[in-house]
Amino acid sequence: MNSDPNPRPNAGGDHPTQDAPAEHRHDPVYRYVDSGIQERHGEVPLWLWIVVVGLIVWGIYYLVAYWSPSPQ
Amino acid sequence: MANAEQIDRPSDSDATLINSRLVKAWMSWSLVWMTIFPLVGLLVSAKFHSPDFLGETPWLTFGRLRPVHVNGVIFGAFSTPLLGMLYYMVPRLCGRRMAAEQWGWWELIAWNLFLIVGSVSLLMGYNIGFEADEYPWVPSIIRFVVLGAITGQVLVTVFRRKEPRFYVALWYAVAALVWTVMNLVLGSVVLPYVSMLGLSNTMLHGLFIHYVVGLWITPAGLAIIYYFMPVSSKNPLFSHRLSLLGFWSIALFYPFVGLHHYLFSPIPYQHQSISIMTSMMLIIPVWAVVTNIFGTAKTRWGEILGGGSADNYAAKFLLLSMIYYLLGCFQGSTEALRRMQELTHFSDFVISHSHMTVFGTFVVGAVGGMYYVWPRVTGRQLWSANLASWHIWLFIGGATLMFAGLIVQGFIQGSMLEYGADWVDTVKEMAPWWVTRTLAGATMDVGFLLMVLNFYFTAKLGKPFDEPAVKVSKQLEAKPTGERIGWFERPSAVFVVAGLGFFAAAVIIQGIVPSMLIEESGNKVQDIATGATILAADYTPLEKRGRQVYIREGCWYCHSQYVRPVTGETTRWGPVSQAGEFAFDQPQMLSTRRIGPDLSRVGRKYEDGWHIAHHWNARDVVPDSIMPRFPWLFSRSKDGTPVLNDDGVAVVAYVQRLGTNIGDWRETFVSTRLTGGEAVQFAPENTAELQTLGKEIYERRCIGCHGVNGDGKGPSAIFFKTKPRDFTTGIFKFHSTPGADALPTDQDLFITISHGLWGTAMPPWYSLTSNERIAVIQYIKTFSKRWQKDEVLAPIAVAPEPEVSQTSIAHGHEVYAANCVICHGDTGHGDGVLATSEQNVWGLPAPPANYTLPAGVTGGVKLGHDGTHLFKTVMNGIGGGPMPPYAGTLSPQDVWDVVHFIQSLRIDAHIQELKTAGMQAGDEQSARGRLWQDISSAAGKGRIEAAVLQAAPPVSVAATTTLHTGGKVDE
Repeated sequence: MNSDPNPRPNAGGDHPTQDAPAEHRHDPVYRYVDSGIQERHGEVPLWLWIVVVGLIVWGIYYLVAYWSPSPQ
Repeated sequence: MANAEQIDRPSDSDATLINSRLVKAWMSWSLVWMTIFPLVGLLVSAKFHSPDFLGETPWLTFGRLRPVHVNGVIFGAFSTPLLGMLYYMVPRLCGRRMAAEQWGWWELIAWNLFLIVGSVSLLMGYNIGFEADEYPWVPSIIRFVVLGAITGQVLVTVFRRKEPRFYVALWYAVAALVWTVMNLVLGSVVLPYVSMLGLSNTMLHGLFIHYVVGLWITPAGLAIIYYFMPVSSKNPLFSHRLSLLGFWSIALFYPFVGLHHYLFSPIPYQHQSISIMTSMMLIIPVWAVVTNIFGTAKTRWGEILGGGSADNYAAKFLLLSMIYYLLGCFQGSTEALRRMQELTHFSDFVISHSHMTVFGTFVVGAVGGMYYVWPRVTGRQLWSANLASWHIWLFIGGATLMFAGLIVQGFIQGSMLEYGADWVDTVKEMAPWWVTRTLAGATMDVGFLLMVLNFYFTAKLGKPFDEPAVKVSKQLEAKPTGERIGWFERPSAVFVVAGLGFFAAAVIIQGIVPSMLIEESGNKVQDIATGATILAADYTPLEKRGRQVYIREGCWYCHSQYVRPVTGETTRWGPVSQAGEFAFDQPQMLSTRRIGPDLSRVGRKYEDGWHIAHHWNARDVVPDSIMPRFPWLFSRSKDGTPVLNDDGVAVVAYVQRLGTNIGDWRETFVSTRLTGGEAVQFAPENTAELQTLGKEIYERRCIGCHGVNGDGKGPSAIFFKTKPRDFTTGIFKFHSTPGADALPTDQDLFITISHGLWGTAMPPWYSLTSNERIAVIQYIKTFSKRWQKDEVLAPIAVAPEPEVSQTSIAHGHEVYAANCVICHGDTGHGDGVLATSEQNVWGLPAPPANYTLPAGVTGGVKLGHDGTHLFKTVMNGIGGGPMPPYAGTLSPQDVWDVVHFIQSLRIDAHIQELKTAGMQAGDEQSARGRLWQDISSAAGKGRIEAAVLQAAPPVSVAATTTLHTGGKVDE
């Protein structure tokens, strides 16, 4: 069943879990008490920011360019 | 947590927060609906390749089962586990029991009642005609009450929570509930009951459809995934910041996308563009969510993928759902782009998207949640990891096959249509793919059955389940020090800004503003033939009844009703759709799918008998058709012949009305112009090869009416008012060759096949290639030995057409009175003294043509009012009919004058129709000019007397029809 043979130590409060990836070792982790869910503060990867900015620029362009149908 | 005393307890068996019996009951019913509604989809799928399967019972036809499947998957297979899981997730995330938790039992009963009553109602034909909102008012009210109550409970619980922070799963849950409660008001009250223009109805319905998907299924599903991914993978959620980006970008962009269901329609262009832009913007939240969820599983891959516990399978299904989310939503964003939509819209490409997102992503996400919850609410370990493994692999196999296959189908059909393929050919091409889809669906359904089996035995035979102890807080009320919570992660912001604000903004910008833009034009349309502005008319009571039958039988799931200005649709079906045409369409019937052809312009394409035969058995008429039979629209006459009952009469009247609000457009329809046959040439040495191809074409297109022996006794012929031609006699109506019953040239037959014969069951076949039309002509010739015995004479010379003048028309009137009036009547209405007694060579009634009728109305001319055609017909007579050749009796000049007189009869009637339809008096002269140019070569070259355009024609012909009579004028 789902019982973890090697349960990780519980991480309460704003502390990183022990098995967090190295790049997140210093990332604050919040723990929702009754659900047991933990949540890293984390970040938005740079590549995704690039996607976001790129899409927003494209979106503005698209609305300007296609606000009216092109004359046939 | 600061200031919180920690104790050990098994959180998932904590009776102080969770009512496990209640959650288990919701989960149990979820298993029922997860089994039944996808299985209904299997039946639906089977009908694509086996259209007679379960086809004789009204409530088991495609049109009845399809909404049961779609709504059942949305509100049964997905929403039931979601609602049950709210009773599991919300208390845990809020640190207190669900408000009014005991309501949950009544809500479960009511929810099941809603699903049962709703499904049975749809099977019985109680369908209000809005896709994804078809349930009639009784189940809709039950649904609204349940969702409203749960929304209230969740909001109260959230606002009274003990947990300081407001987890992302709750953002999605709260927003989904608030959005959906409002959306149900839009769908169940505003759309059906608030009077509005049809196009406004369309826009708001487009928003509604996507709110079901984007503001219910998506956020509610993401609530499940965001909750169960960290707990099942036993890893922290990857990034709170990604959660913020994902949620707020969904909340901002998703409410605006709905109009992308109706691109290239008359919806204001800029609002279509907004929907496209925001659809593409959805890449942001999708990629943010997927990154977040996969990031959560990071460092746990081995345990998740290799593990055999229920939690491992929960995580596997959740990750699988994210793969489909990534793929399906990228597909969804890009298919909103105009060029992509030109190619793929209405096709199975869209069905792939909907299945990949609704089923592949969110039903699978709910399955993941159930694998986690079930052992905890039953207190039993998962019975069989093997069955779970079979479940997921069967699903992966089936889903991959289905989704990929449907995408390929969409590209194939779209490409074929772009290259001008005949519609039925594209349907035939889909057949093997549809078989594959059924097999793929069955594979997935078997997987689901294994899950049900596994869960059943888990509850009965599973080993006791002990939740590992976790630290929980004893003192939860105190807010932790130093905890910063931004406004955009507070329930009030989610409720007010995302839930109410963005929804309202989108409805205003994408629903109300464009409605105001079209409000002024109302039911104004442009008459295609003249360019004059006229008014579309409302449906007659009979047509309204037919429309209800059309909705009841689900015809609109397969037939769209708008012609786009792209992919050759204007040459395939007719003029592009105009906003005013839809003025009286509530519920709107534009539709989102084309399993059959678009019906916008089908009115008057065939005589009523064709539609009667088609509804009796579509495969009798079109052997490759997959349309269901509708024998319940018929009763039996005394001799046993099927005849339409009242519902059947109504639906045929409705269908014949479609597309007739833009005037008499067929006369100028480019695809059926008679000049198309003039360039046709074929090499006699290819005759045998062409006959082989022609036989194939004949057996797929012609055999239903003309019969296997070419004797005009196909299975559909009994329904036709004008009987199909008997090819065995070698006599054809229209021929450019001299003499009564002369054999026609190939060009003559090509013209007839390409143009069709108005007012009869013979449709235009311009969708066949020229080679195919030539081939079938060669095959038709094999039915009569006349083609070997008799010579095909050279066509007569067509004398130059004189100027269209009052003198010509007046003289034509005199000639007409002397020669034609006895059959065609004084005013050209086909009501001369011999009219009722005329017969053709087969002994069948052959009523004279009524020259005043619009194209396609039974009783009118069959090849149009084109001057050259009329000249040849008068000169050579009509083969097999009482109309004799007048060559030798009348001079070419006399014939041209008669032709001008006949044309003036139609033009005068046409002008009268336009006036009745609201054309301004000032437009009459230019309208006359346009009409003359369309049918007279001389007028087209400017040789028309000005007085003809200004003065009333010599014979006052009272218009007996309007533009909106739906083919009933001759009766």
